[in-house]
Amino acid sequence: MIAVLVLVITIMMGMLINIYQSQRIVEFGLLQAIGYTKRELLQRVMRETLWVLLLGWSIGLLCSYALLHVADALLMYPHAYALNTLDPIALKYTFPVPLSILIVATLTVFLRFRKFDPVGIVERRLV
Amino acid sequence: MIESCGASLVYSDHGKQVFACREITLDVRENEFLGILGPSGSGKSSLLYLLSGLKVPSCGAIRYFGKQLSEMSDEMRSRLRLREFGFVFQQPYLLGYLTARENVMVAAPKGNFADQAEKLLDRLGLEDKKHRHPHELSGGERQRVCVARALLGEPKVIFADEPTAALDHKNGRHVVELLNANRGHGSLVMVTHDPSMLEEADRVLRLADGAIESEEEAARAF
Repeated sequence: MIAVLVLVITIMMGMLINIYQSQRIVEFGLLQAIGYTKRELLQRVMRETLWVLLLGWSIGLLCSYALLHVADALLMYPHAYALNTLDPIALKYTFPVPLSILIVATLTVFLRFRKFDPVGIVERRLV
Repeated sequence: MIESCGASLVYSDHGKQVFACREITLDVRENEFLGILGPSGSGKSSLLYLLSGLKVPSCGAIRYFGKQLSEMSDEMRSRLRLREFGFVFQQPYLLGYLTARENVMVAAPKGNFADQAEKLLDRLGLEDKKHRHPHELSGGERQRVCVARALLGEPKVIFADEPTAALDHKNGRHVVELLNANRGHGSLVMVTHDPSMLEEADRVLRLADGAIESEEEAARAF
C-alpha cells in the first residue's frame, strides 16, 4: 500500500516538476546559448529541486509532528495508548518520496536536454 | 582570429538536403566590425551560429585562433562561448525573475563582475534602472541590458543576430553604436537585413541562398 502511494505521489510530483521545468525552456536555451553547459544546467535543476524538496519535507515533518502530538494528547494518551511521535521507523518512510521525486525530475530534464537545441530556442522556433 | 574554411551547414527536410550555408570561406579579423547582410532565409543567422560554435558545420571547418571548433567537445565550446564570446539575439531575452543588473551578471557565473556590470549599465544609460525587472523596462532598454550582458568580461568577439530587428530605427542605431564602441576590446560580427545599421562596419558580406555573394569594404558597400 505504501509502495503504491509512494509511486503515485512520485509520478504526480515528478510530472509537476517536469511541467515547471518545461516552462523554463527559454531560460535554459538562453543560458546554453551564452555558454552554460548542459551539466551546469542540470546541476542547477537538481539544486533547485533539492531545495524545494528539503523545504517541503521539513514543513511536512513539522506538520506531521504537530498533528501526531495533538492526536497523542487528545486521542491516545487519555485512553492509555502510547504514540511515539519521534518514531525513527516512521521517519524512514518519509525519505523515499522526496528521493524518488528528485530522481524523476532530474531524469526527465536530463532526457529533455539530450535533444536540446539552444538555437531553436533563441530563434523562437520552439517557443 | 575566426576562420571559416569551406564550411557548410546542411539540414535534412523530409529526407531532402537543404543548405543553410554553402561552402563559406571567410575570416573575422581582430577588432573589426564585420557586417553580414542578406535577405530573410539567406543563411545569415546560420553563418553566425557556425562562427560562434552554436552549430557544427556539416562539412568544412571553423577555426578559432587555429583550433577547430568541431573537434572541441560540446562542453568546451560552451566554455569558449562564455569566456570569449558575447551574444545579442534578435529578441531581448532576459530572465524575468532577475533584475537588470543580475541579468548582466548571468554572463559571468564565476568571478566578481558586479562592478563591471554596474559600470556597463551606467554607460548604457540604465543607471536608474539597474534594480528593475525586465517587465518594468521598455523594449529598447531590455535590448540595452542584453548589450551590457554581451559586453561583460570584455569578450573577444561579439555576435549580434539582428539585434535591432525588434527596435525602432532610433533605438536600433543606439544599440549598434553601443556595440561598435566596444571594438577596442574585440571584434563585432553583426547580422542584419538593414544596410543602414552597417554604416560603421569595416567589411560587409552579402549572402544569398546560403553562399557569399560579395565581400566589400564598408565604404564601397554603401
